Amino acid sequence: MVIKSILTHFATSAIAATLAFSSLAQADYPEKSVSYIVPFGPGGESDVTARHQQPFFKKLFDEDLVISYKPGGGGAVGWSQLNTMKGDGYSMMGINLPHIIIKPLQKNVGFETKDLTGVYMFHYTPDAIVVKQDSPFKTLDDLVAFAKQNPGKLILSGSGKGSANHLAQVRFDNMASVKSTYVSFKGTGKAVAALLGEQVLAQWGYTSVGAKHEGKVRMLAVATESRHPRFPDVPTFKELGYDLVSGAYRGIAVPKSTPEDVRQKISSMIADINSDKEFRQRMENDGMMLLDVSYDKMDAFIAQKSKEYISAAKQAGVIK
Amino acid sequence: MSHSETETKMHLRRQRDIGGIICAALFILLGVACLYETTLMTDPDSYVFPRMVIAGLMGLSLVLIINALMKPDTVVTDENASAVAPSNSRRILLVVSMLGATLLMPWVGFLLSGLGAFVALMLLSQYDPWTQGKIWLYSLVAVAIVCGFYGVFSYLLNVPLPEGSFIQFP
Amino acid sequence: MLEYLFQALTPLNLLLALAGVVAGTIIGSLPGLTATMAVAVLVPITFTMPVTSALIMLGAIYTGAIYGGAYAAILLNTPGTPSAIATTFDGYPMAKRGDGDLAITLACIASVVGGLVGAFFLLVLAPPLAEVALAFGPAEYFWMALFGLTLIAALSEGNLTKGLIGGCFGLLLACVGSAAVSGDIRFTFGSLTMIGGIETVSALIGLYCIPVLIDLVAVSERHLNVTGEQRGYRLKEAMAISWKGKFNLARSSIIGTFVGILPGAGGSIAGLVSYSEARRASKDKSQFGKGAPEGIQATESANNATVGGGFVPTLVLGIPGTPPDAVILGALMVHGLRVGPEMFESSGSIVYTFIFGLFIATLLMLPAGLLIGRYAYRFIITVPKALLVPTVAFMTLIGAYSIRNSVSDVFIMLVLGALSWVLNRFGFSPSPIVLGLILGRIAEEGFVQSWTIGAATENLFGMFFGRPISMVIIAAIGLGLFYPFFAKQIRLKRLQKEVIE
Repeated sequence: MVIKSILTHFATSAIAATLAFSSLAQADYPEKSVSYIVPFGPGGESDVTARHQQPFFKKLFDEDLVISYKPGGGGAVGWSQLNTMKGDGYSMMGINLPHIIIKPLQKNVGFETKDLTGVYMFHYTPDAIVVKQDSPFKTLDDLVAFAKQNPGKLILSGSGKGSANHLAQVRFDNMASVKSTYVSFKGTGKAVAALLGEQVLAQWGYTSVGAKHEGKVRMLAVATESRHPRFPDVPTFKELGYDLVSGAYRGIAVPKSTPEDVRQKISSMIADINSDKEFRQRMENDGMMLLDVSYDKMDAFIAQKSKEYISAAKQAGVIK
Repeated sequence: MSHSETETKMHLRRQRDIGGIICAALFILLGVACLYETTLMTDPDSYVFPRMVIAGLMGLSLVLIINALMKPDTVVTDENASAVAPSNSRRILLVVSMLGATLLMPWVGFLLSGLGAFVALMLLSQYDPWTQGKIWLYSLVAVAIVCGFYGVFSYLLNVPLPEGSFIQFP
Repeated sequence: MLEYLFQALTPLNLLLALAGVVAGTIIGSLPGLTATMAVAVLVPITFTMPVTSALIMLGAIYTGAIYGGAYAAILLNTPGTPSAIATTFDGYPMAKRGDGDLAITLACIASVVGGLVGAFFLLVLAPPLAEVALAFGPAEYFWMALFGLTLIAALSEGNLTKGLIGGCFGLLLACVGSAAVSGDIRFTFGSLTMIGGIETVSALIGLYCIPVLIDLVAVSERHLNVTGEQRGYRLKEAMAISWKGKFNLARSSIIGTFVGILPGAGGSIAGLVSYSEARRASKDKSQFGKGAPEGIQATESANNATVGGGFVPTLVLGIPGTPPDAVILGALMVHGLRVGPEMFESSGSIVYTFIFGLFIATLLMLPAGLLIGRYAYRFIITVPKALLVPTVAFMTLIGAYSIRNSVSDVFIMLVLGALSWVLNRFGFSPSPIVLGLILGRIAEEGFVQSWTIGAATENLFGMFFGRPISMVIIAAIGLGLFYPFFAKQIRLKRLQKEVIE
């Protein structure tokens, strides 16, 4: 009897605590520093974008955003552990597309796409075809013409397999009915080095490559809906007749146990950072495109992107 | 190794390299298991290099086994190299207590499991008799070092050290 | 140019350089805390500073951490950072025989020399040197990795077959987890523990440090021999040895600078390559691996030279030379700074002030490093075993965890440690395994990429063997492998001649 009463006591107080907590959380959140886990190593683009957000989080919400890293397995180590973390709103993790869609389909990596509770997608770095400044390819047409005459001899570097770069290459080859060779490098930095060192003829890179290496490289086309504000002279694939809008999408997810109201609160906070003028300026300067997919639109967004990515990944032989 | 040294310093014996043969055999088994894994991969980029490595591992291990069987006296073992026989039980206990602490980490948190491992190893590596003073001093040092490092890592370096799911600290 | 020197010499910058070197040295000396992590942790602090001061502090931390890695390598046989792997080969034997103090002072001098040489090249030759980085394609990386692997032959004098088996085992360990090129998850055997692969630093801690602990706890004797009374820094002795080894230091520093320039290579490979070159050039090879000062000098000067070398592609091309450079580059982007060759022209003040800051930090490392090294040495030799063992063990746990914030890494570290001890008993030493583990990813990436490009251009042979830099490296590999045989033949011939005459 005694034990039973103790148990019920615990149970009721636990429920009370949860209730009190969730309503409190909504009102005063955040009350302490928030941990932001990047599932990649320091120095990569996921880290850099998180570092861009860091000072604005502090400015707008007056609490620190503490960045830490959980790299391994191409992000899988971090994502497989996300739901074991405390869902109190003080832990969140970066998510990347196409990684979270492709990885679980390749092998058991300890998580499924649907296990990740995304609350916001805040930007994407559009894919782009990059060539050296002095390359004979002046336009995308030049490149396509070369590829048509020399099947397989158009060698492009890119970052990773099953990545945004790789899937864009597969989709583009289909649209242009050409066959090019994709050489996967570990990270965009090494892929750029291969381009600059003329180990390859062109690169499937990102607009951030065009921004970072301005003057040494040219972009032939970018995979955005409309022209990138930072590069008004570079045509989009769409203008040139290829329906390719793609890139590396980044967002933020929280543990599954995070209460609904906290999820929405975080979603609106990221939106606030995204609408900060100075933040926009900095991100666009680095060649990134801001994106606003809030919590309520996440499912539809992931579903739509999954369709595109999965069919491309199947063609690329990345998944069965 | 000169002849006189052999006689004076240690007792030397030439024998078949049984340990080497066993290790090589295990490496071959590992190679078979890994080779099987590569057949499940679809992308040549994934399996070409590992297969070369596995072939090397298995081939060399085979060479080692054949060599060791053909030439019985390949290894020179020195017995009684150390004056005092090393304690194997302490060795095993060291590994076991560190593994135990690691396995407990997700349950009781880093602080407690780390402290547990520290105390266990302190007991293991103490050869002189314990005195009252030493016990107090060493316990204090243990707590200071563990808590000190814990503080530096989790608050200064922002390392999210595991918190236990059973026992939690603020 | 001089005005930049004065800008670097402001009291704030001097203070930051000193604080950075001290913090870096301490962080680097703890196994598991790498230069990358030290820099990453301190990046947010720099957002409140002027860019040059921030750069100077980050550079100082980086330099200090690379040097600090030598302490644990010498005193505990555990490289504090991967850069110090080859320091263990001779550093630990020196410490065992009672020359730990001398080894630390030698490491300090070598690090300062290497750091200065690297910074010098960065100052005068950065833009042209960056072109060297670009000339290295996938095939060159593959051959360079193979060149590093030839060191196995030198390291396994007792039994070459066992050394090579260890090397293959290491290469296989490198394949675990996310594949270098395809990103496939491999060899996890269905376990989630291994998804992240074998993390290099935690594996190093396991392979080198755990066996030391296992043997420490088994006997009652002290950890290191200490003969006679304390001999201070033994600076004079170290200076004399350093002067004698000046060619070694110069050669190793230059090798270090060049390897540092290659993106993705880093301090560990620089140390290994210059170690093997120092061994080849030495008149008395038999001492290597048994406590030869030349081994420490070669490794420590080379790995600190990679600091300056690594900044070359980072600042000129915007492509990080080493992992800590990637973090620093990220910080520069957040500071709103664009890197590129023009940095050395238009916004030269930032770059040159930073390079002079790097010089100053490197020079400050001499007194700071000697002092900290002395305390580290004293601590290790005086602390009773019942405290030394648990402290080091606790550091391996927290260190292995902190690299990727992963309990799995701690587990893998311990399992590899126990395995390493057992294998070592049967004649499989850990160093070939480590070489395989470190070079495996570079070798695989280079191999698969060269294969893809070669197949696409229908010129596989030319891709691997026809490129000029590749041919030079292949020649070096051949020389390294067959030189001992040639040397023996030549000596035999001479002997025969003498006998006949």
